[in-house]
Amino acid sequence: MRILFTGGSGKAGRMAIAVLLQKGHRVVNFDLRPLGMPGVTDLAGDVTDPAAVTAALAAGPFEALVHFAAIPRPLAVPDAEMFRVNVLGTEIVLHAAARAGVGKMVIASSESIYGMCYADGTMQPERLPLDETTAVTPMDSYGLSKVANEAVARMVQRQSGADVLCLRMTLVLGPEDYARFPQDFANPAPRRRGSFAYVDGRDLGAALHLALTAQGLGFQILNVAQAESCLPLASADLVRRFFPGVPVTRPLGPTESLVCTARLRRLLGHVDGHSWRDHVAVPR
Amino acid sequence: MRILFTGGSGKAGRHVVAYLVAQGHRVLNFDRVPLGLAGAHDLTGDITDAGQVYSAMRSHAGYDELETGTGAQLFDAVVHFAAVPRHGMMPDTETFRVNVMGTYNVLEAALKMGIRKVIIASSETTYGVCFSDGVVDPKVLPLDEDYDIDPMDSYGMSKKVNEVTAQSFQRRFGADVYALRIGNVVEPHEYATLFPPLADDPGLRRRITFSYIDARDLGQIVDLCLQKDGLGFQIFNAANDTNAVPQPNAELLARFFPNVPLSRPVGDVEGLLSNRKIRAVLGFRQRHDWRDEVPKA
Repeated sequence: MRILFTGGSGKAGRMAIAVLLQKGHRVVNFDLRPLGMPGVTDLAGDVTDPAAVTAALAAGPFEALVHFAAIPRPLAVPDAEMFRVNVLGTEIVLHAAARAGVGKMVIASSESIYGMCYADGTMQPERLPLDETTAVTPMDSYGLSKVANEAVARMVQRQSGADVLCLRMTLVLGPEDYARFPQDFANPAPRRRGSFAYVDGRDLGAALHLALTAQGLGFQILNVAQAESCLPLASADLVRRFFPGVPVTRPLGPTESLVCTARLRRLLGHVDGHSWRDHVAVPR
Repeated sequence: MRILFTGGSGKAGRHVVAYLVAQGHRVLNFDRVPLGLAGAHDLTGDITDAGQVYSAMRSHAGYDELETGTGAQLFDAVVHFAAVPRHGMMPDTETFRVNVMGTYNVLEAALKMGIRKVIIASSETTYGVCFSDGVVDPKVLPLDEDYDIDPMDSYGMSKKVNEVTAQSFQRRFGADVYALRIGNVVEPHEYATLFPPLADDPGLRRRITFSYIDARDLGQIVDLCLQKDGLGFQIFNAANDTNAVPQPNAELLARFFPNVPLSRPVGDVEGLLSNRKIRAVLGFRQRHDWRDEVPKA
């Protein structure tokens, strides 16, 4: 497919694009900074500039849009600016794509939408594992920007009839990140805010490929995470220790991720190709 | 109370500001154009400029407040009505930008600076019927606040984003933040022209499920919200008790919404944009039934 990819120069984008190229897709990267990856056309531009976005789409036709461009976390820029870039950027990009007749759109949402990630103090989720029907009432402006993005995506799907998918991505990691995993084994507390979940960037790319090639999905929200947590610890113990009192709605596998990806696997047939265990010795 | 009111010069705002001033509140109107109402000072500004919004949160409400010598004080409450008020006035992207960023700025500034009560204007258009492309049915009637709102137009969407923004900031700060899903606002002078044609053609108001809110009764609702504390985040429909058309619901439903299920029995002329919640929670009692406001022929 011919794909316009926004934010392809970021960490998640570059790993996902590498997979899309392997699958034979043609990618144009629309980003403030060039990616510089062989086989990818870089188009410099700002997602909050409607004219630049419209012009980029006119370089098509594109069969699909992938929208990853965003301020990827709070405390990088003032909250109001982060909210502006993420919310207006998504609204501008999706509407422009709809007007250009793009029939498939995939946007980056985030597990931070569940609210624990950047909460002030310790926030408990409504229930575990976190699935796509769990309440999303984050108190921080970054998580809020993702709530707004998903709401806009739902509207654009209703307006245009295109397939519009929101990928609630967990922490995106690559092979170079796994060496530090053992630091967390004895002290997992810092990983609580991410619900002990992660996604390998290569598997994110594989899931994205499936999302782009599946037909007739309408509007969908999909968690994207590895099947297992980032720890060699029993998930039930993690829940007891770090989420006391939170209802657990079904039995958890021994080291099953607390971010449920059943929908991703059922709807798209996604299977993990990677695990941190391939890179790090598991302690006994 | 000392109130910072955004958008007080607009169609709805001007009546609400007048009502609040009449109740004894001190109101500073923050708007791009002055209202010019005696008793409400005008501060000209733009809600999409976060700096101006932050600045306005702590300000004198009039020149007389200079006499106190205590410095500009934080307002007790913010009422936020400023917005592009409907679909089709500006390009969609601009409507979305002004409404979404403006509301974000107002909520962030108010709550980060320590104001504990914010009331924002949402809209009945969030129910997704009003500005939809083509004839769209509501999923269920009457329209209650727990409806799964999914507007397909950028104006309704901007208001949905406003509501989730309000909910998020309320959760962060624990203050009271109430969103009013305001129905079609009718000013006193509009009854004479707007209502008589509805006897022959109620379909004119299908997109707003035949509802209305008297601008002065809207003032009462805002005042009740200002007086009511401790509710956290709330969404309230702001509508009068009955539909704005003379036909009974049995006829309206059969003719205009034949395939829409009812969640409960509705009264003969009960408003399909339900105001049960404001009556039960806030004690709202309407004072301006359209039947009394339309001049007799």
